[in-house]
Amino acid sequence: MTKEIVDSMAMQRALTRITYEIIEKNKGINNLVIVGIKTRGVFIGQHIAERLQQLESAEIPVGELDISSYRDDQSETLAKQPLDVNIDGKRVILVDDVLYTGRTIRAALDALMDNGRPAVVNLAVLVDRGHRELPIRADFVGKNIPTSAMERIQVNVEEVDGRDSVEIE
Amino acid sequence: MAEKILLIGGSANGFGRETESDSASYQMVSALLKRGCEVFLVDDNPDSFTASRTDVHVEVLNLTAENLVKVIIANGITGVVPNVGGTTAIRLAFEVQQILGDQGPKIYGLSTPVLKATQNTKYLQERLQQWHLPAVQTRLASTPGEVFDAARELEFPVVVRSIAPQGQALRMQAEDAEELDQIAEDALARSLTHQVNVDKSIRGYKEIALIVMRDFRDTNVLIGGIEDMDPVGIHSADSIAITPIQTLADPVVQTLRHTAFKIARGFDIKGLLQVRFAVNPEDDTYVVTRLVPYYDRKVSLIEGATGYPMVPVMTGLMLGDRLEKVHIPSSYAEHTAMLEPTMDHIVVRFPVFTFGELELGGIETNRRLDTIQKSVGATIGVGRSLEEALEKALRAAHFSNRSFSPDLMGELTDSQVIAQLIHPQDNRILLLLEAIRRGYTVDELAELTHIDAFFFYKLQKIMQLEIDVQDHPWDIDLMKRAKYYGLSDGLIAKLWSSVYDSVRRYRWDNNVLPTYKAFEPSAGEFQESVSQFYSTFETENESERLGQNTVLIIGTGAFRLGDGASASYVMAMVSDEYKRQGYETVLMNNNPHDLTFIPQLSDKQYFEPLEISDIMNVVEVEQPTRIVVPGNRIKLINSLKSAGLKVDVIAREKYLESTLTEPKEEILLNYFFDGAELHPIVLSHQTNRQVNIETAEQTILRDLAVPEMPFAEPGLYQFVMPTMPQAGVGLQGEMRPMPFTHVAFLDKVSHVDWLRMLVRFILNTSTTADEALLDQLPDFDWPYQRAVLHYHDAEFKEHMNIQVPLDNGQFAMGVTYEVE
Amino acid sequence: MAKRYLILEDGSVYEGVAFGAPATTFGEIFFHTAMTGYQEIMTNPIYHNQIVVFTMPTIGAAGINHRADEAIGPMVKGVVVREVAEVSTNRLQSMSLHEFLLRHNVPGISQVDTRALTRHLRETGSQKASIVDFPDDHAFDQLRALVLTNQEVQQTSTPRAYVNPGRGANIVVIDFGLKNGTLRMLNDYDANVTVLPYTATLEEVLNLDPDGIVLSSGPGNPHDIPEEILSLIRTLQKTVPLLAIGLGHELFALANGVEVEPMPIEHHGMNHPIREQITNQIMYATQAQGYQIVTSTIKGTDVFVTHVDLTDGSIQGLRHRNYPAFSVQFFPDTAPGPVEATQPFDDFMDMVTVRRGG
Repeated sequence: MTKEIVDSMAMQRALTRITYEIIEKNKGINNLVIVGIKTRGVFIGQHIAERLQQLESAEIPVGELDISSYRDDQSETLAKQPLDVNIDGKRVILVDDVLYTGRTIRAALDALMDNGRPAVVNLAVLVDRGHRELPIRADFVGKNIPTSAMERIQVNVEEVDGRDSVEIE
Repeated sequence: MAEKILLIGGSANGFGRETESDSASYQMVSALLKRGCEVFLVDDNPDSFTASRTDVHVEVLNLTAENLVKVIIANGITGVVPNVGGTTAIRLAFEVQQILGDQGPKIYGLSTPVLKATQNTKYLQERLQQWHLPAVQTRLASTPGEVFDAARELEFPVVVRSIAPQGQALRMQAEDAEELDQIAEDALARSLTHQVNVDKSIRGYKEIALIVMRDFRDTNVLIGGIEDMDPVGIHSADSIAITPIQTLADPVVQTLRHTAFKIARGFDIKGLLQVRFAVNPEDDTYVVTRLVPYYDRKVSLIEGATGYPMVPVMTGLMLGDRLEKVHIPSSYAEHTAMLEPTMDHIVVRFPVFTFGELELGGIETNRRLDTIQKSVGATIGVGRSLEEALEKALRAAHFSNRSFSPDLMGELTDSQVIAQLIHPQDNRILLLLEAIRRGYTVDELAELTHIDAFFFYKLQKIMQLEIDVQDHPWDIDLMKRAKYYGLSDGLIAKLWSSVYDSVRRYRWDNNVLPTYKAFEPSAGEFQESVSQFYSTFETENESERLGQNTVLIIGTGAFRLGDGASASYVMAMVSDEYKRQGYETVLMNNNPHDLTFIPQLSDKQYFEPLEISDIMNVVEVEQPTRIVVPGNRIKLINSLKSAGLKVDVIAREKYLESTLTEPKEEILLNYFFDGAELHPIVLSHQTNRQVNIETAEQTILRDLAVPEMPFAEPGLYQFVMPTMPQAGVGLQGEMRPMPFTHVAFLDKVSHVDWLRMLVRFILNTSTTADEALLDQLPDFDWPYQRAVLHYHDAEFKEHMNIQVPLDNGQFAMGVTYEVE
Repeated sequence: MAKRYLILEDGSVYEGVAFGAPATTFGEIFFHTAMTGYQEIMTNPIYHNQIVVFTMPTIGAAGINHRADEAIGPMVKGVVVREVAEVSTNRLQSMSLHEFLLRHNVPGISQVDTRALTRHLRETGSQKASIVDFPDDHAFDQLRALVLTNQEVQQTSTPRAYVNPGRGANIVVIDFGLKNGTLRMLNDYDANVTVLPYTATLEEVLNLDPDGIVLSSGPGNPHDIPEEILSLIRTLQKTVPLLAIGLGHELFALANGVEVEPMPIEHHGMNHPIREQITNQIMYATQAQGYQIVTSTIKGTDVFVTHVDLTDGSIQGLRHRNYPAFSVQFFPDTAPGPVEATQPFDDFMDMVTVRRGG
């Protein structure tokens, strides 16, 4: 049974708040690059970039990170996908939809390091659902939603799912 | 963008649809053309003013889904707009969508979910619950047994409404099992799916309507709110309505506003949405009762009352514009679309009933008001106090004989008064005043009628003022007070047993002059370029003489039976032609839905009652070169003429002699009279069902004698005969002005703008083409072989319990036509 | 019904009829365009010593009920309307508007052509005005001699600290003329609120171990506030999440090096479109604004613009680049006013929660 626990409006406000926090923490938007983890992380990252542009009238580059070849839970070796933005010396905001065990993020960090040498990496997630298996924490969290391992959290974005919401089942 | 947009027309007028949708579609066409769209219109209503535009492709077809599909495919239509054609247009749009599926054009302004919520209460309840919004308790039923089960569960009183009704939606209230027995079967039968909703009654709750606009980026703005004086239990159209809302405190209003926004967001509305609420006066709790996602009379009222550019904004939002970027006509200040309209005046809308006319025609009716609409039209009164607005609205609705004719109401017994207080009739405002006169307290009255006591205090104040005025004839302070609160010169004259002229002179001599205020949506905060005014008696006058060469055009007031929408059509056409002929036009009318109030149509508008004194006040300000008056206003015409003013009369005859008793046919010879000569246009046949024209038989006109012409004014006239005329023989019959319905029909089926030509003859600016056309008559190149005007059954039976067939010449509400 | 007059500094006279108290009063006159919420408006401390003109022609139908009070009793020095309802029928009311004003010795004048008055005021800007029995030379002399106080905040701020208890976050409100709506909103979050007078010291504030600070709205000119408060703000904004409203917002701006000037035409109403820059969305909120941020002085400071009034471009919200501190010029407490305007409180409490580690 799927239940919507965060609606479109709440999701928008969460992204707005994350955007303000990013500005605060980074003391502005200099040198900022957003890297979204495929798939939904990219769209969320784009929304954050849009907000930054509204506020500061500057275009922040948004990159797509494909980590399928970096995951530690698969046997096959896939070709590594290069990152489409430059991160050398930049302050990178890594964006994903849900933070759970932390393994995806660890893989993402590996992927990032293969593509350059960022000055700082911060993590922004829309939902933190607890149950970390690695020492990883997010710098910016949209919503903290404690869950049981049995439950499934699904983030929907307009571009992919036709609506903005967070559902639990 | 080069879109091809199809506007679905509204077909025949009737209960629930006056000329507001025509007014909206006219404005929408202008907005669409400005965006570079090509516009198509399908309508079979000859009274449609929009259909007379030459920059629109008009298809005269019966409004059916099949016909619409034909037009869509034949013209490559990319978008359909159904929300300026009333409920029929909406239903058709979705039928079309079902037929064409994904291949079909986009439907603008409405989505399937919101349509479903409009027609299906159960679905609306579900969505409301989903959004944690309060809804009316309701149950679905498909058999009389289920209807009773629901009633037992919800407890009486209950309201039964048909799902997917044929024609206008009806809600019937049942106080007990007997009443429910009577209506259950009928309601089921009226539903296309044989289902009804049974709702728990919210009778006695306050009815509030909010109108909001939303763009695709979720910007929501509240355009206005209307409060009905009559509580739930009386159809909203029959209730006296007031804007802005008077008796609700801010927290309640803000909650309703917020709820309306939530609903608009939930349905992803792009454009307009009206949300109706019922508010419990005991504790300010509320329920959402229904949604109206199209342009209806309440929207039209708010548009007029606030001066907000409703239609241009709605059009832009519908087509995907952001609110900040919507294009509005340059006469408005730049930010007007985004500013939430704020009013510094009060507008009262007063329903107009037709029982008097029907009774004169010997027709029995049930005058009791309930949840089924009985009024046919409405007028508005605008003022700076509720008393003033109410007085003006009352006057405008022709209640000039009310209060201080104790004989009218004085004959009722006390129990009759109580009965009518509980079960209101159309004349209840008179009854309420009588009850106050008889000493009923405000609390008693509020209890019996469920009308907020606030209004009774206002009525009491008006009553007392009248008594004071009557007791102190020619007291200048009382006269000032009387004018301040909206009493007309005519009423004051009556109270002083004098004549209106003396009162007016007295007023003039003592410098008690009307001040005209502008309608604009910023309450005086911003400079808006305004052209709409109302009168009040204060200190600052904002209306200056428009120009040296203006024409003042007097409208026809409320929608009435007989010529209904055609009266509005005629005056709108006439007004437009005067403008084309180089005059600056000033319009005066009291019907908020009338075509004459289309903003682009004239240079200046006055929303005022149309009594002689009101008109003379405007004449004093505008000093027009000419005044155009509908021909039936004989007293007015004479007064104006004796004041030395140039009056152009638009000949008017409201209806034909009754054809009720026999299924007889009459022959009508239709003429254009240029002031000197009668020119025969066409011969038509009239029965109680229709009027028809056969092109083939028009040769008969060549050899006819010229009938007696008792009228001097140029115009369109009709000679009525019992049988077909014979060549060379003297004509036996009666000449009268052509009924406006026939005028509109003639315009449409001949493709000649007879009204425009009439104006040119009145102004002596007729063209050689005009002269040539007239010289040629009766030889005329008819575009069709046959044309038929059908009187539309306006469901008088359901609305007013009229069991006998009606004389359509006198009482038709709407017409359709077809051509071959 | 006694005749009374409204006289303006520029010599204009408006005739009307008395209601409320028969007192003669003076104050700065302004017009308010809201169609609802007259009680909330009259009792808002921001309007202390002012004379309010309501553009809505019918006032008083909802009576007076104490849920709608924004302070104990009316703050205005006079009420100018077109029509006042002598009797109100609202079931929740406890008295009529007339009685309310009478009790608090505030005069009202009705049957004034408020539209003409509004159109006049929008040309002249705000002026001194008085409600008197006779518009004679003496009355005008007195009016012209009136010196408007610069101690508005002192007169409306609480003299002593007090607590509005709750079980949630510890919020300290610095009172510059606090309206009840602010406290009501904080109550909705069950905040444990302590209200301090505007003369509070840094030590007093920090001793309360606040999770968040609110700088309240209030009357008057922000430049009339002592300098120490600006440095207090500068310190507080580094330490704890901060929300500033109205006058508070103007002080927040001054504290961060941005200039504030009087507005040519003030905003008092709830119908202006306000754009939230970050989302490009439009919202509506109640405004009670006589001063505005000087836009050209933002550049180079550590604050950026978050909200703009689209009718005249005036800045309606600011935020600090480096600290969790932001401010709004409009009223986010819905008393009166649109519900969507309460977003700043949500955002503030979110900030507070996040930093509490919740």
